[in-house]
Parts: sequence; C-alpha cells; structure tokens
Amino acid sequence: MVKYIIKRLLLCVLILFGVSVILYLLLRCVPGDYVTNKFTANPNVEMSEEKLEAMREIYGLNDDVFTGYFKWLFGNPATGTKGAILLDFGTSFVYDAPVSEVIADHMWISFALTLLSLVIYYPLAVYLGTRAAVKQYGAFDYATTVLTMVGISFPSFFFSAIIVKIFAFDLGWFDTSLGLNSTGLINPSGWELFTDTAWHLVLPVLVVVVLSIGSVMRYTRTNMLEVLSADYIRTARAKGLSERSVVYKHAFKNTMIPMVTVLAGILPGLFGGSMILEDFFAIDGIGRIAYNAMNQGDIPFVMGYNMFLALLTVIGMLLTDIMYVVVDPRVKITN
Amino acid sequence: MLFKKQQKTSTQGEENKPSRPKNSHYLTAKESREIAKSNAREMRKYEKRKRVKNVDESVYTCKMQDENNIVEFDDLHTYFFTDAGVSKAVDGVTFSIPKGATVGVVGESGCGKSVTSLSLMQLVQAPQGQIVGGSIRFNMGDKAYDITKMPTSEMRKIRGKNIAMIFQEPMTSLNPVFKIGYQLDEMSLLHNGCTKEEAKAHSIEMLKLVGIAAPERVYDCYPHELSGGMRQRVMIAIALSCDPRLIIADEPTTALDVTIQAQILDLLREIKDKIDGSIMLITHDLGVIAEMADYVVVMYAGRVIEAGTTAEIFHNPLHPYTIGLQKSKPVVKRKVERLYNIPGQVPNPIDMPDFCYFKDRCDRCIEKCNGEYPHFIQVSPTHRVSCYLYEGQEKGGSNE
Repeated sequence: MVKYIIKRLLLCVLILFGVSVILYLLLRCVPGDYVTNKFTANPNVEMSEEKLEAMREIYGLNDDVFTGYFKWLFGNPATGTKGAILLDFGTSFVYDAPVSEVIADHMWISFALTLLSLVIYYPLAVYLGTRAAVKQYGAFDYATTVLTMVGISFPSFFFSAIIVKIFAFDLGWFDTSLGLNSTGLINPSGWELFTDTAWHLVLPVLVVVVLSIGSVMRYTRTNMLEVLSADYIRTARAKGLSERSVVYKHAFKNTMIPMVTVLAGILPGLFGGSMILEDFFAIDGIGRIAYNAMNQGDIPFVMGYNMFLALLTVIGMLLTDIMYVVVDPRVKITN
Repeated sequence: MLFKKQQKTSTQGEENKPSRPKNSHYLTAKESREIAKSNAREMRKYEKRKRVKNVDESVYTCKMQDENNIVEFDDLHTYFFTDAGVSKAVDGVTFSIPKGATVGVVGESGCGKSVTSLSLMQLVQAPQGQIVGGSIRFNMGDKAYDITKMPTSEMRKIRGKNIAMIFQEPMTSLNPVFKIGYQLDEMSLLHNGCTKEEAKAHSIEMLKLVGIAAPERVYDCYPHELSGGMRQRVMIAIALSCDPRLIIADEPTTALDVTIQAQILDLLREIKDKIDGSIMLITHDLGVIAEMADYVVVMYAGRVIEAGTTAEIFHNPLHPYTIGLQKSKPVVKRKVERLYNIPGQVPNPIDMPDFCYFKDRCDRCIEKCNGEYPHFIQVSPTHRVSCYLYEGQEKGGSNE
C-alpha cells in the first residue's frame, strides 16, 4: 500500500511537470502582457517605449518562451526566486506578494464556502437519490428529477443574479454590496464579524447547493437503481428481510462505494474556489483573486494558481483510488 | 389425484387490453398510450393489494386440496405489464408438490418456469410483474395460506423461513460487500430471534453441513474470495439455515462446471432427506431432472403441457414437445448424424392466439389443433398431457 502510494506520488510529479509546460506555453500565447495592460491603459501616465521595454525586462517578459519557462522552473538569480521546482512560484505582479502567500491567504474562505455547501448538498443529494430510486417513476421521483434538472441547467451567474435580485434587493434580507461584510460594521468584535460573515455566506452557499445537488442526486439514483436490480438484492428479499433493511443496508452499502470515492475526489478541489460565483458575490476567495490576476496578465500568479489546481486534482484522483481500497472489499492492491 | 385438471377462467386485465391486428410488430402512438394507461391502472391495483396492512388472517387462509401436498399451484396467472402489451409469462399453471418429493420443472428459456417459482415467493419483478389470478396454496402444517392473497408484510415471515430459494448465479447472488458470516447470521437472527453468538454457531454448523471444509475461515470471507461451487454451497447453507419446508432451486447448477454440478446435486439430495423437505427443481437440463426428480412438469410458453412421474415422462413422453426435448438431448452410446432440434422459436407471449401454442412448431398436427387450446387429458392417475393426439385415451382420471 505504502509502496503504491509512493509510486503514485512520483507519477504525480511527472504529471505536474507536463501540466506546467502546457500552461506556460498557453499563458505566453495570450496577447497583451502585464506591462502593456498596466501602463498603456492609463491615459494619465505617459510612458516612452524605452521605459516600457525596461519594465518588461524587469518583469521578465522579454525572455523567449523557453528561457522564461526555465527561469520559472529553476529560479531566476536576478530576482532571487528559487524556482517552482523548490516550490517558489515567484512574486505576483498584481498583488505584489509571494504567490504562495496570496494563495494561502485567500484559499480558506473559498474552502469554507465550498465545504459548507458540500456538507449540505452531498448528504441531501444521496438521500433524495435513494428515495427517488426506491420509488422509481413515482411522483417523488419525477418531482426531484425535474427540480434538480432545473438546478443543473441554470448557469451560476444567472441563478446568482436571480437570488440576489429576490433576497437582497427585493426582500432586503442580505447586503451584498461589500462581499462578506455589511456596510455599517464599524470596529466589530470577533463574534459580530463571525455572525456577519456567516449570514453573508447564506446566499452563495444556497447557489452552490442548488447548482450541485442535481448531478450527485442523479448519480446516486442511477447507482441505486443498478444495485436494486442486482441478484443479491433478490437474495436479500428471498431471505425475508424487510424492504427497509434491503434498501438501506444491503443496497445502500453497495451504492455508497462509488459515492464515497467520488466524495474523496472532490475534497481537495474545494480549495480551488469558484471564479464566477466569488466574483459575483464579491467574495475575496481564491477564485476571484485568480480571475483578476488572469485578466491582468499576472503570469507568476496564474501559473502558481493553476499548478495549485493541478496538484489538487491529482491528489483528488489519488484519494479516489485509495478510497476504493478502503471501502470496497473486492479491490486490493497487489505489488 | 396428484395433478388437477386445468380450468379455463377468464382473468382480469384481458378486457382492458387494447386490440390490434395480429402479427403486427409496430404499435401506433395511440395504442402505445392506451397500453401505458391500462398498465398503470392494473399495476396500481395489484400493488395496492399487496401493500395493505393488518389483513385478517382469514383472508388468506385456505384449505389444501390434499393434505399431503406442500404446495398447490392452482390456475396461476402471472402477467408482466410491458410497454408492448401484457405478457402472459405464466398463464394458467396447475400442479402440486407433494411433501418430501422433488418436483422438476423443465422447459426452455422464457417458458415461465422461473416466474412460477418467483410467484411462489412473491418476488416477481414489481410493479411490472403481477400475479393476476389463480392461487398458490402453501401448507404450513397446521394451516394453509394462499400466497397470492397475502400482503407482502406477511409474506416476509414465510420467505426464508418456510420457503427458501437457491438461485442460478452463485457469482452474483451473494452481496459482495458483506462477509459470508454476516449474510448467514442474518437468517437466524431474523427468523429464529437468537443472539449473535448462537447465530454464529448455527451458521458455522450450516457451513459444515453443506460440506465446507474450513467453516470458520469461510465465515470470515467475502464472497469474491470463494469459488463458484463454494458460493453455491454457501447459498444452500443460507437456504437451509431456518429448516424450510420447501426449497426452490432455480437452475442451481447451470452456472457451475460439470464436476461441481454433480457435487451440488448430491448435496441437495442428501440435504432433502436430512431435513425431510420438498424441492422444486427448476432446470432445462433433462439429465439433472432424471437424476433428482420424483415428478416432472413440462412447461411451454407459460403453460404446463405435460406432467407426470419421472418414469412416465422419460419412458413414455406423450406431448410432441416433450418428445422433441428428449430427442434433442445428447445421449452417450447413441450415434446420430446431427443432434435433433425442435424447429422454430418460442412464441412471443403477448397476444397469444387461442390454439395450442406449440402448433406452429409441431410435426404431428391434426385437424383439431386449429381449435381452442387443448384441455388436459389424464392418461394415467399421475400422468396428464395437453394435446389433442391423446383424446379418448383418458384412463384413471377421477374428476373428469
């Protein structure tokens, strides 16, 4: 098992290397760079071509793609960065701070938002999916299917807009103008700040729950239906077990195998944040930060953020595979 | 008399069936809507009946026609309400299983033999599959129940305890995520109400009984760690766990290789004598029937076409279909150019015409075969056949 995990981790390094090459190439292909964006967009600042050239030199934007990539990977003695290989992703142009610091500062609020939503929607989706499967083609099944399909089909910005219109503008229950804090808050105590933030998280969490519940519910329902038609369920019924113990013991444990592994795969991704949602609700999460950085051509931050996402993804996949060994007695790792 | 004469009764459901021209394979949108509507109505009706709680016992108590029988199927109709129409999987099946006997049910795939046994357990795939008519009388010893009238909640007390079932596929019939021990214990915990330790002791004893060499080790195994033969033994152990009066073995050896087949059959025979129960053996393997059964029921397209003792069916098969089945069985020492096969296919059980279902495949048809479906002809006290060829040969039938 340990050997397997080590092997997988080494493989992850290889994957991340490949990802970084592709990412860097793509980023350098994007037209317009940070210096041009920043200094030519402002009509009040008159910059000569030489000055711009000098600025580009400082930011390392004059290097060709290969030199740039090597400097990113192995460090640049001129700026004192140690390179991505030593987990130093350099300094963000936009935020003027080490990339890892910016990420660490902003990922927790994103994590809180997505984790909170997950804790609500996952069990709910599993419950609804199971009920719908047991009463296949019944009224409950059709109702949940239609409602969750509506949820899946909404684009997140559109649904957010509707929610904000209803609950923030029309009903006035929430104040969404300043992100996660109310406008009138002066020198709040810790508790006040906490309750205020929690209250402001309600709408974004609601949006995530409504948008995500459908796919998990459909997945549970499909799994449950498949399991319910299995031979061993007929055996369980033939034993004289009650329908409740057939469904919630014999079938449920089988249904949960893919559900738990999927969950393990989702978990690391929670740190990744959600760009559109955070931007819409003005939450200073990592998604919004990355969105701004991307818009302004902040190469070190976008590289760092995307490598962070790639790392979360490969860890998620590894966790999924490990979870299979844990929950499914049929899966064993042999060396 | 062992086997009752077939009665003709009209059953519910038939009146609601939309009419359409014969031999048409396509449904118009209107027809298909009508079918869906009538299906939904019928299924709701039968599902509701099964779900009723607190049914008085007198509703489903009945009297056995012969106290020596353990089960009497009487004109059983089990239909499937499919999108293409009502499929009469079991259409008027009548036979009985005497105490302590093994009754073999043979027929080709799709002839309704499995559905007959699942009807007895009330395990027909609901809501599409429903028992729509007839009765199944089950002898509880001091009283008898009509299983077709029992609500599911009551039926659960009989399943596993009085009637146990062994399924065809040992590979998929055990739950892959529970240990063998748990799946065995469940039976005695549920029906005997004993403690966990007692259940474990009993389970290990059961594993020993079915010839598993290391019962303690197998007790802690997951199903995937055992071979097919071992799993079928475990299935048998589960079935035997509560001393059932009847074991339904639905093609218990089909998925196993030949040497294991012989072992499992020996085991079944041994165990039947030990617990003094009856076995309903469903198979399409005539060799297995010859070896195991006391009585044979031959089914075709949802109906019993011939029934009798094993000796009668094997030495004096009467129905052209039974004769065809016998001929298509390879026999050691008999040399043939080419193994016989019955021409044609089993007819589609939706909208069956009212003449002998085997007519189109039969090589001995006579004028009368175009008439209505033939009644049973009792050729000996135990042997009956549903074929016009034997009209006028009734012997020994008592209630003709």
